Amino acid sequence: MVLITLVSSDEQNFPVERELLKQSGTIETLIVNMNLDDEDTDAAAMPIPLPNVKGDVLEKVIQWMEHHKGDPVKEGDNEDNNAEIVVPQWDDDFFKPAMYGSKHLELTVAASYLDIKNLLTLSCKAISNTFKGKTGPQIREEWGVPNEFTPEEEEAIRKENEWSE
Amino acid sequence: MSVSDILPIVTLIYSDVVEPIFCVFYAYILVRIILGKSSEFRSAFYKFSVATGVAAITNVLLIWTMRMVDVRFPVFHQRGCNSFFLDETHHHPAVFCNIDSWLSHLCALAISIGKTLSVSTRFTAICFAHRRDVNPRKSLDIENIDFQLWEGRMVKICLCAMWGIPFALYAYLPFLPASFGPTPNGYGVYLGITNPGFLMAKAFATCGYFFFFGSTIPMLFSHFEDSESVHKKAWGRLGPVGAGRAGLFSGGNQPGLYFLSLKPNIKSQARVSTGRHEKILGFYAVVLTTSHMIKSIHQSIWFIALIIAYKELQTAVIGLYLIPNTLSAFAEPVLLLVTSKKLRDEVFSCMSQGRSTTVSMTAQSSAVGRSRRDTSLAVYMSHLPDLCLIEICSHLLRSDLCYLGKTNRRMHSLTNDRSLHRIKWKRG
Repeated sequence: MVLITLVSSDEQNFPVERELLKQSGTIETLIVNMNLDDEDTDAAAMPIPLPNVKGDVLEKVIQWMEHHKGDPVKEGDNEDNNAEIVVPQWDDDFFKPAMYGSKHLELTVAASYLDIKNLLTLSCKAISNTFKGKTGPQIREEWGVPNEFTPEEEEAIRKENEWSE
Repeated sequence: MSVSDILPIVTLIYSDVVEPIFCVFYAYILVRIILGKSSEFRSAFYKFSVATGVAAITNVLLIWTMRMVDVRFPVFHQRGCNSFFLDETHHHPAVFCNIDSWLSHLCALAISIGKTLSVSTRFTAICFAHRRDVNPRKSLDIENIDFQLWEGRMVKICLCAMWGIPFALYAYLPFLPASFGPTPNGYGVYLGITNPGFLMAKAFATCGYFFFFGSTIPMLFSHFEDSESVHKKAWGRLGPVGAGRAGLFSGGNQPGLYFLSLKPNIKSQARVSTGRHEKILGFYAVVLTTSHMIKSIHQSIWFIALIIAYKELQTAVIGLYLIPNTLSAFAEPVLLLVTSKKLRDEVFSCMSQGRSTTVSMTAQSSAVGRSRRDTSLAVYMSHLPDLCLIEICSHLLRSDLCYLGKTNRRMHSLTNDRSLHRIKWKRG
């Protein structure tokens, strides 16, 4: 079993199975460019630095990748029907403790940076679920987003969206 | 009781009790800056502010210590021998008093240099941002301007100079004989070292203040001229329709033209924040300069009184010392708190956490409580890449998209992204 070491922004080392890393487009490209798959290359001696991902977030990403080892990448898949956004139970439980917290957003940014399509899709779906059926002020309050609109602007947007309501 | 009776009591309470408490608060703010996770706190401006703060706190505490051991509680009774070089039979107050005075002078000059550097970072942030904004090919990144102009090495050199120059200039101070003036109780009061050494020390301090004047005031005038010319250019270039944007650029409000800002126009939004940011930087620089200028004037008058040996003026100046010193020492932490929301969040985060615990009643309000506890959530949300937000939007229904678009400007422009049109027309 070939192990590749990932180094987080806070310089924590994570030895990860080569097979798992196939889920990450960014790391896969690095592995190919660094010739880490070559038999002559000592992969253990060449850690991959990930300056944009913190140790605790990288740990969660690896945990997710371990569970989804061998899953096919779903390109442009959108199996949601009109009523609900489908997030598998395991992933729902995985995201739930960090939901409404910066950790979940950090995980989403890490998924985007590492180009892990399935994780990004599921993480975004989990966030989408929190937006469903909520009004602008409710979303603002839950996510701590400040209101930047003037009353006139709010009125203009309301008129803009009148047709859809 | 008349004002003349109350004033000494107020002065006594302030100088002996309130001032050290202010120092503790100031030190707490500095610790929050040092431990703060925001990248803003790693900028040159905050490094200079922390160094200046350390000098200011040390200076106040040194003066307080001297007041305690030399005025309030007479500790050193043997005033006769006043040389730094001790013999075996004497324990000399001069050693302590001279070292205290030396460190105090050192800190005062370090404060002048530190404040000049702090104002310089504000000036460069304003003026270089202008130059960038006039050139449309270059991106506007006012938050990171510090990092480009004040690189790590440059900051280290400035910090070394801030402490090294006063150290070298005042190195002679502890070694000269101390001077003690008579007091009614016969104990005597420390007046500094004997002339002309003390005169030289005051001259260096006054030079420091003039250096501060000479560098910060032209910077401020240059900034105001610069901003005026840039605004004129912006108005001239944009014409009658673009005038709304020029108004936004200067942070102004143009009634009837607010629809310009409704369009997803990142540049105009950047200009709104630039105008606001520029005003904050300008406000910081002007108030800091003014507060230090008051102390500079006070110190210059003291220096002149020393030269012309005008005893009454000296006494009056020493009596007024507390006011300019307080303004100069504590203007900076107040300004930092007033002008930086990140620092306010950092300093008052404990209080906001305490408030949030009262909120969680129902399932929905518990979510609100969670988001309020995590003060950085809004920041993280704003840092989420557009692609992620569009991905999030792509799983929503039309009505949800409309609601989401009402949250803030960024969401409004993203929910109108072309890639989401299929949802608007097909789903929901």
